[in-house]
Amino acid sequence: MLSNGVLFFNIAVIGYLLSFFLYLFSLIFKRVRLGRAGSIVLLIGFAAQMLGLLLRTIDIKMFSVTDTYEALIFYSWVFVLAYLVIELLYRGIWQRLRLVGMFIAISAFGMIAAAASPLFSAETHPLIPALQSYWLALHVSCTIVGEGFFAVAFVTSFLFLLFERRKQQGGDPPISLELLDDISYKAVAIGFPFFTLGGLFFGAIWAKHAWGSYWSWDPKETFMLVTWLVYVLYLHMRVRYGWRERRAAWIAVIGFILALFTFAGVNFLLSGLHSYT
Amino acid sequence: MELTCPHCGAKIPAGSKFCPQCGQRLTPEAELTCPHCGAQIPAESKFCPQCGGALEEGAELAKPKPKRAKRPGIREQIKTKGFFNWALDTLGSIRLTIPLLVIITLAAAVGGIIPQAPHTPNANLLYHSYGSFWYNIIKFFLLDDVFHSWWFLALMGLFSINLIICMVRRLRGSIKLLAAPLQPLSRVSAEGAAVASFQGRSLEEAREAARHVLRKRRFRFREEGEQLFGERWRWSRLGPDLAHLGILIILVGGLLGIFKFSGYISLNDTELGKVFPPCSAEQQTECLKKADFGIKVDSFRAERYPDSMMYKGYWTTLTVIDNGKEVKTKEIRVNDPLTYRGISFYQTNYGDDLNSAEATIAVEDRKSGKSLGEFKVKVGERFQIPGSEEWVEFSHFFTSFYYGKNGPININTPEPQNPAAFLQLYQGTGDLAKPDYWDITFANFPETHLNQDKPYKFYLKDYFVPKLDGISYSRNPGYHVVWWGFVTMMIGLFGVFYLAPRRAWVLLDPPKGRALIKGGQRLSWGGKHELERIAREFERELKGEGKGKGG
Repeated sequence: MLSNGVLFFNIAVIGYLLSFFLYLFSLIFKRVRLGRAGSIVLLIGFAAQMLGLLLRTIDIKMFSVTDTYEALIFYSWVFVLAYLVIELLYRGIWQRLRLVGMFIAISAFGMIAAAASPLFSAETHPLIPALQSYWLALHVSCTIVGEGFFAVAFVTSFLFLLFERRKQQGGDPPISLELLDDISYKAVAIGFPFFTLGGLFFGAIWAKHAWGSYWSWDPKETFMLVTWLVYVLYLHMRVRYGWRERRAAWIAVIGFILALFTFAGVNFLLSGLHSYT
Repeated sequence: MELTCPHCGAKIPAGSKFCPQCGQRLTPEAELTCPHCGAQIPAESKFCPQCGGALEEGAELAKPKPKRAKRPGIREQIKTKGFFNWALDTLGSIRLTIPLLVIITLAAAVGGIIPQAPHTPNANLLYHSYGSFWYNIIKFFLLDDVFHSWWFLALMGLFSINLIICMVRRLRGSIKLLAAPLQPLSRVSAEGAAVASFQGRSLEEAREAARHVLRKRRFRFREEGEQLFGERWRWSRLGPDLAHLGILIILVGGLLGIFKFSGYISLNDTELGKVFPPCSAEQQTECLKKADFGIKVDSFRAERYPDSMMYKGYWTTLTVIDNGKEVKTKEIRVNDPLTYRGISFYQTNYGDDLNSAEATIAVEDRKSGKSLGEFKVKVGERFQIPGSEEWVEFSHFFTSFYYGKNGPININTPEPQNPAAFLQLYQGTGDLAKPDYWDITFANFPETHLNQDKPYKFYLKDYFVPKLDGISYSRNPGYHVVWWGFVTMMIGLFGVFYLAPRRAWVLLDPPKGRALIKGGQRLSWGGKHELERIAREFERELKGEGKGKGG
């Protein structure tokens, strides 16, 4: 069955693309107002996607994170949410965030487009007994909320490394490096508690309820721990050791690559308890 | 705060160890000396990473050292501090935490990639997939069972010691900090402060405006002379302490896991009502390990999704039998176990009991097409083909045969999709250990035969497969400890990241008609930004614009 949600995902994907171009033109032609329009269109796309997720959730009678397609859609939604939260936190200087917004918009567009590709099926399907638990919704959604913020930190850290190099070569970065560094830290700090709560705590509770053991050193669990440890390292290096900027940015980039591997790679490359599809 | 590189003159961020422009090592003018233990520590630290002592803001200690002092050698350190203190400092140092975390992370990654015991492929397969060199490395470093290897446990032990010392020291600092009320700043300088003007207004008006802004921003503040100063979310200074305590509790819970045990019982639908008693010295199978009660499997059932080949769910009704009395009955399902005296029973699997399948196999002579008879056998049984020296073993049964990547498998479907019997043929009367050849016959495709050159054709005529119900049980006394550890850690994490403690000093300077707003040490970019926002709100408040918005 095809859920009504798909229509709204299509609206969202158009919104994100439009938002990308608005941000882009705003930067090229130095029109701040276009950037505001970009943010508003991004917000509209975000609202449409939320509605789509809601409809799909009603259709399947379970929070819409039950397969790779739904997880990808939710992931892109959280990604935009994380950016909007950051924009809210920096509302006094939102104009300076336009470049970040541009990258977020095009990445969110890419994620929904990937979910809509023939690799994944948009059809809803019934749940196998192991997945019929509200812990599924809590475990997956909280983890992805954390990862969405890590994704924003990845984008800003990546931009930081890019522009830092340019600055060293004598160029002028189009956005303050200090600002990028600060956003990275904030995004990791906001995401980390959710990542821990969903990935480790709720995961452990659910594993106990379903498999009888809260921790089994299953490859996905193990890589979850590896990712978590890398972010623990990020926070300690930064807060206690004074590692900022370039080195912190590298850890944030590595951490996110690991998070992606845990999210998608483990299921394709390694076998274990988390193979549900 | 920005520094200037002494080598090339470039402006560089505070806290840098190397100049990002010329790559020269920097004389760390930004380094401080801890007033408690004398260690060299990064500028703008709140606590000394060596002794955990709190570094008070605005105190005189922020005296930059003119020259980088070399870290004293181990022998020198032992001499000055004494061995015990040196060992304590070393074991509780962040310099130990970082490499430990890196090694643990790498070890976990290795354990995630190499299949771990008990799922390790057998030695042969491991040897073939990794080659002799890596095989020896894996075996030597126990990389196929990383998480139970002595070196990993030793690492975790060292990590725990490091964490305990760090935690106790930090907690001491936090308590000191929380116990001491915030003090007014002794030196007034505009450096690092946000500046707001109150020219043309009286001091009293400015004071009232400052109170308003601080209250709106949820600061708890005091006033002394021309200073207003206070803190917000001061208790979340305990956040990191709670998070670390949580991790320690989780590790203790993990350690209690050595007392865990688990087991598995199964039965098919011809055995309903069967009681699994506690295991005794004699009886070691079909019983419950370490239990002092029995469990009766009353019934089990499954439901499928309409028009689908998928199970919607499966349920088992269990009754606990304690002292010969039925004390508790519950219908369990996946994700909803039954727990009695700390032992939980989980619905684990449901499907066809292939090992108890019965089938009728018809044999036909390929040449003449003449029937040689029909044989009713159970899985594992053999029959002799009449008038020959050949024996047929019914070795496997499939309800939904599927040829997968690693050979034939059975798919667990509610209805048989592709029933098949796997047969092994033996020659002669003597040693029947090694089959001659094998054959397979499908109920839905009777004319599919594998061996065109052999003298017999087989047909799967009829079959019966009972349903199998599998229940695992386990007990882990560490689980609740781990649960509370996580709760502690989560309170700490949300506290530290969502209710970040903030300090602010508003210094009113009537002669110049300005207010200086200063924050704590080591302000992040966002922290500085907040000071700036306080300054603007203060000015708006004075103009009377802020009155409308809550106060």
